[in-house]
Formats: sequence, structure tokens, C-alpha cells
Amino acid sequence: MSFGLFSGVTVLLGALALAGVLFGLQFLRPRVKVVQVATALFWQQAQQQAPLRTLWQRFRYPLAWLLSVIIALAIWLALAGIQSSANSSAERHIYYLDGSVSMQVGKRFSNARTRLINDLEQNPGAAQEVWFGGVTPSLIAGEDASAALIKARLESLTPQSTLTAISEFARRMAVLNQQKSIVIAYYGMPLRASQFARLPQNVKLIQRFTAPAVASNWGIVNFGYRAAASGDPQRVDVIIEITGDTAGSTVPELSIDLDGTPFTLASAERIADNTWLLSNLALTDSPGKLSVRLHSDDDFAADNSATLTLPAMPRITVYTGEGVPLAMSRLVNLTPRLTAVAQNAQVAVCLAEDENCFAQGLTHFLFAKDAGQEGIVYKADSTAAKLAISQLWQRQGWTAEQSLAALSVNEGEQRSVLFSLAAYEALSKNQDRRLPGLLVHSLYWLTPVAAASEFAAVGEPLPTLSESPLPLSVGEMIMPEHAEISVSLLNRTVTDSMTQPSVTEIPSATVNTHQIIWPWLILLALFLVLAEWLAIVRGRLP
Amino acid sequence: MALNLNTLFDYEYLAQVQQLSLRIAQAGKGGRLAEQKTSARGQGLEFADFKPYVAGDDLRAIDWNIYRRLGRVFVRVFEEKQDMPVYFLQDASASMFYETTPRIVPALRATLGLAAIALAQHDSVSLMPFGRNLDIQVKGLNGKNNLLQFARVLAECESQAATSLTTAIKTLANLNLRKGLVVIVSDFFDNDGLQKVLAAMANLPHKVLLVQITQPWDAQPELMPEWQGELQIQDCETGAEVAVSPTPDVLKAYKQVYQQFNQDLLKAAQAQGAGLLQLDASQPVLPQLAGLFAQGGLNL
Repeated sequence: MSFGLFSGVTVLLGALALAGVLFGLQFLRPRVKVVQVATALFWQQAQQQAPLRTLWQRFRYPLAWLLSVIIALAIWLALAGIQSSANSSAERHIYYLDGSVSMQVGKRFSNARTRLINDLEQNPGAAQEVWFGGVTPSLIAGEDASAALIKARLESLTPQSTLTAISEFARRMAVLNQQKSIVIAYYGMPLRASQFARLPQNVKLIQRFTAPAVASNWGIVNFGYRAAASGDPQRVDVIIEITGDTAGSTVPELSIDLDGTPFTLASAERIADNTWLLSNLALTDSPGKLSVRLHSDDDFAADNSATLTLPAMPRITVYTGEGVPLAMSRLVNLTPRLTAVAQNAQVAVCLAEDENCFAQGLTHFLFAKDAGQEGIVYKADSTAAKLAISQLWQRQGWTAEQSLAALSVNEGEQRSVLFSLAAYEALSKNQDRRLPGLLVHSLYWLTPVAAASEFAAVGEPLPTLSESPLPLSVGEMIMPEHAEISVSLLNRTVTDSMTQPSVTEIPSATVNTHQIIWPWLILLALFLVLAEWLAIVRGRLP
Repeated sequence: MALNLNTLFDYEYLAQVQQLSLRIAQAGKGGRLAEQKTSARGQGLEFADFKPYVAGDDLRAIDWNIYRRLGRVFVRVFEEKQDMPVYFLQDASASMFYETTPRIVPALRATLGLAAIALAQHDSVSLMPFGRNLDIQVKGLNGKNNLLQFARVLAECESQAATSLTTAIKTLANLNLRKGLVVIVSDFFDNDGLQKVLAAMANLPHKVLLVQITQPWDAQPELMPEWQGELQIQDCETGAEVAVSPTPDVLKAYKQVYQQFNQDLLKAAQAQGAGLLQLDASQPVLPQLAGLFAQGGLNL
């Protein structure tokens, strides 16, 4: 129970004053009008014959006063804006301020924040649970927070370089409050119908502020790398895609540079409209920074530039034991990523029966002289490792009609490769061009560090770091030691939505977290007045 | 309220009422020769009886045919029509003079109209205003020419403090006046109660005509302009006060009381063979008065 217009003390004092005034009014004598008539004889007889206007005694004070007090208090409480929070156990009301990258445009964020503050001020005493949708949704203020504190915290916020997470937030809230109905007052970028459709059933989302559309926007929506299609592990392919107002405006100029060295789009292959591919970009010993900039003067600048950190070319140390085919040693020396060492290598290349060779490497590439061994056997220490080698063979085409060798992938305590010496010699004798690749990629597979992992999904939210459905609060994100997460903030949806018109905002009345009960009090007062009037007319009240 | 003779003495009104006639079954004998039936025997046109001749009888009344057959002398006697004494008991209490349209005005006009009728048919009229006591101001006035004098006396009627109709009727009964017609013009608001009035009236040896002066708010108090809020009803004669909340229950009770009052008055009038005219003070007198004389005359 709370009051929208007055404090509880004011309401209490007002109620007491009303009761006192009504009690005093009971002692007032009515102003009578003296009427002279020809005879009062009939009136005397009528007064004697009229029904008594008291129930059992003259109750001038208690009941009449009580009835008056109830009527007056009902009106007083209605004027005080009484509202009930009785439904709080069944509903959870949340104010959600979107702090995603799209709110960086103009005064979107400040306007949304102002609207939120106004709504909070118009709904004082309510359950003010305010969340900020930044990198991870964070609770700004709980139900007990004062309005001043909430306002101060909100004014310290700025939009962050992240995508809107309202859908994920709503899903998590629904999981946390399965028995409750959740009402979210949303202040942020316009949501799409598909986002509304994905909302859980017990979540009702009310758009109180939707950011206005910008006039035009061009943006980078795809920028990432992958292993080079050529199969060269020392190179990657880079994809660049932009999108924007293709109708009525020209494509802005695009500039690319790697560690300060500019590229020209002419060196890139245009594989689709507004999509370019930089093929076989060579990795270097140190991570390279590949930057792309879109020369557009639109209002939303966040998607006009992007930077991609290319992985450094990893080095693998290889020990070559006695009896190993000479071509293997030459291959190690010729491959830039591989370094021959005399001991303590990451990979030891040995004959299967050379027990002394085993101690020289963490993992082993073994040549087997066993006549029963015809192909190549991979022992993987994990399912991921098994999958990686299978995909490698498929991508390289080694499992095609003319199979390179009989492939078998087994599980083992650590990774190892067992290659039939007979199969090797057969391939070598035939001068199969796939053999060096097989050897090199097998050595790469044996090392735990991939040469170039495919970029993380562009424009997606941070990967789930915890299985807990509880949304993370700011400062709670714990990264594994030395862990890196590749993520792009570019998103086609964000870029496209910048020019989409905002949807109709829902009136603030629907955001009210309280059950309005003052109309019922007015009805009660009217009913009691009517009942009192009837009672007086019928002589039931003095 | 000062009454004005000019407004009271309305020639047109009087000319119309004089066309009416007022009769009673039998007036008391002992009056002058006139037009009312009496028990007196004497001169007249309608044969009544025979009686033996005594010295002094009119020889012209001897029936010679009876004498020839019987040898005895009889004289014919006739019904003698005499005048009817009409006694006007005019209520002059304060209740008749109160209110913005006082009841006394239509009451006096009714009295004057009835007096005009009586004088026009050669009856005698007496005026006895009463308040607490009966006051005889005019007694046995005869002749049309005296109507103005009667009106002048009426116009000088003054308000008296209280009403005691019972006392007035008893006083009238004790006067042993010649039997005639008593016309009581009053609102019949007697503080002693209507039953005492009716009991006294039953002992009157006269025919009675009751003229009850009413106001619209007598039957419908809600027509009073002051009918709202808490009321203190004050009797204009006695000053007695009654606190009244004008609720439907009280109003209903009042109307029942007033209806009972009228019914009692009507029953008493019917039991005594008296006439009763309820005269609404807010309406013209003449049409209401003419309504009492259904066929142009009123026979009591």
C-alpha cells in the first residue's frame, strides 16, 4: 500500500484531522427555519404518528459519525492517490534502459534516460527495479533504492559498445521467475516483431521509449578472418562486408590497412555486392592489426570502422629421430612455422620402435614398419581433436575418391600419429603432391595451438560464460586466465535498424506497477452516501 | 391586515349571488312575514287546517259550507311564511388574518355573499364575529338596503388573539335565539380540538352551514416556500413550536392527520344535515360559492 501524491504521514494526519472535524461537526446544532403557520395542531399530531427515527436509542454520534468518517476517509485516500502493491507477489516489474551501441547516436540515450527518470518520478513508491542493458545487464537499483540514488546512478551511465541483450535478459528473467508474470518497461532501440515473438510467455514488454530513426546509415557488418582456402596454414582469408542505404546513395569509400600499411580494394576480390575477400593474407610472427574504415558521414559512426587482430603465426618445434625418412627432415626445415630442435620438442618424429625418441617430444609422429599397418592412425585426446582432424581431411579432400591413405581416428591419452612407413613410401614413390600437406597438417594437429582459428560469430553477444541463468552484473564477469574472446560488435541488424522508423510508444499508464484502487474508493464513498441518503429519507438515521 | 370596503363590496359579485336562494326546512316562528316556511299558522296562501271559531278571528276565514252541514263555525287557517334568521359566526381569529393571502378576505366575501342572498329574500341576518369569545355586532338586520351597512361592519372586522369555536357555538346556543340558520365561516382550527367543536355544534337548535376556509398548503405542506431544511413550525395564535424535519414520513403523517380532520368535519356535517363548503382561499370565491347552490338554491 502506498500513496502517489502524499507521504504516509501526511495521509495519516489528514485522516485524523478529518475524523476530528467530523466528530466536532456532530455537536453543531442545525440551523432551523422558523415557519409560522395557521395552526401547529396537525404538525404535533403528525410528529406523534411519524415513525421513530432512532433504532433503539438516539445514536446521534457513534454510528452516524462512523459512517461519515468512512466516507470521508475513502475520498481522502482516493485524493492521496492510494495504490496497492498487493500483486507484487505475482508480478515483477522491471525498468530496462538499453545501453547498447545503437543508443550512442545523438541524444538517444539521454532521452531514454530522461523518460525513464520521469516515469519513475510519476510512479513514486513503486517497486523500482531498474536494470541497465550494457555489455551484460546489470541491476542499477533494487526496490529499496531511493529515487535520488537511482537518478544519480542513471546519470552516470553511458551506452556501451555492445548489442542489445533485451531478448536474452527477458529469457533469463523468465527462467528465474517462472511463477511470476514479468512486466518490462523498455527504453531503447526499436525492437523487431521477431524479438517480441521470441519473448517468453510470462514476459510482457512495454516500449516506453523507442529511439528515432536516423536519416541514413552505412556500416560494416562483416569483418573477420578464416583459415586460407588454399590450405596454407600460414595465411588467412579476410572477409569485409558493408551494407546501408543502397537505394539513392552511393557506396562510401572503404580503406583498409594492416599495421598501418594501406591496402586498396583493388587487391581484394569482390565476391558479392558490397562484399570483398582478401585472400591468403600472410600471418606474421606478431599479431597484426587489420583495420577497415568506411568513409561515411552518417549519424551512426560506430559501424563505420572496425579493427581485427590477426593471429600471430605460431611456431612448432620438431625433433626428428634416427631412421626417419629424410624428406621429413627437409620438410621441417622448409616450413616456416616448423623449427627443428635437438631436444625437448613439441613434436617428436620417430620410428615406432625407437624408444629413445619418445622422450624428446610432448607428442609423437611415428612411422610404423609393421606390415599390418597400411594407413595413418590418429589418436585424439578429445572429441574436439577427433572432429578437427576429420574436418581437416574433408576440407583438404584427402578422403575423396582417390584416398590419400587409409584413415582411422582413435581415442588415446594424448595425441599421436602413427603413419605406415609402407604407405609413406608408396606416396613418396608416386610423388603424390598431397603428401607434404598431410605431414605438415598432421604436425600442426599434434600441437595444441591452432594456427588460425575461424573468427567468432560476427555481431553476436558474448558467449555464455556460465550455465547460471542469473544475468551477470557489471564487474562480475570472470575470464579464464589468458583467455581471449574474439568478438565483433558489427551486426547487420543494428546497422539496418538505424534507419527503421520507431514504433509507437505505449502510454505510461500501462507501466504503473501498482494496482490503482482509488476509483473503487470513490465508488465506495458514493455508495455509502447513497445508502446514507436512503437511510435518512426512510427515517433510519437521525 | 386592514380590510377595504371597496374591495369587499363588489357589486358585480353581489348581483350574481343575489340570484341564488337559501332555504331551510322550517324556520322558527315569531318572525316577520317573509318567504321561509315556519310552523306558524296565520296568514298565507297555502291551506293548513280548520279550527273552531273564537272571537276575534277573521270573519273572512269562516268556512260557511261546514257551518251549513254541521251547524258549527270553523275558520280556515293557513301556513304563515316568515323570515329566516341567519346567524353568521365569522371567525376573526389570528389564523384567519395570517399568511400573505389571508383567509379572512375570501371568508368575508363569502359571508357578504350569503348575507346578500338572505337579505334579498327578506330574511334577517346577524353577524357574530368570534375569537376567543363571541361578539354580536349585527342582530336581526333586514332588507336589501341594509346590505351596505352589513358590509361596512364586515370590513371593520379585526383580528382577535385566539380561536375558541367551541365557546362561540356554546354561547350562541345559550342565547335562545329564534330557530334559523347558523353559518360558521372559519378555518375550524380550534386548539381545543375538532371533536369538541363538533359536539357543541350538535347541540345547536339551528340549521348549520359550514364554510371551511382552506389554503393549498393545508393539504400539501410541501407547497410552502419555506419547505426545506430543518423547520421550526410555530403556531401563529398560541406560539407553540414543533421541530420538524421535512421527511416523507412526517409529510405522510401530516397528510393523514389533515385528511382525518376533513373527514371528521364532513361526517359531522352529514350527520347533522348541515351543509359544508370548502372554500379555497387562493381561488375566486364566486365559482366555489355557486357550486354550493347546485340548482340555484340550497335547501337545508
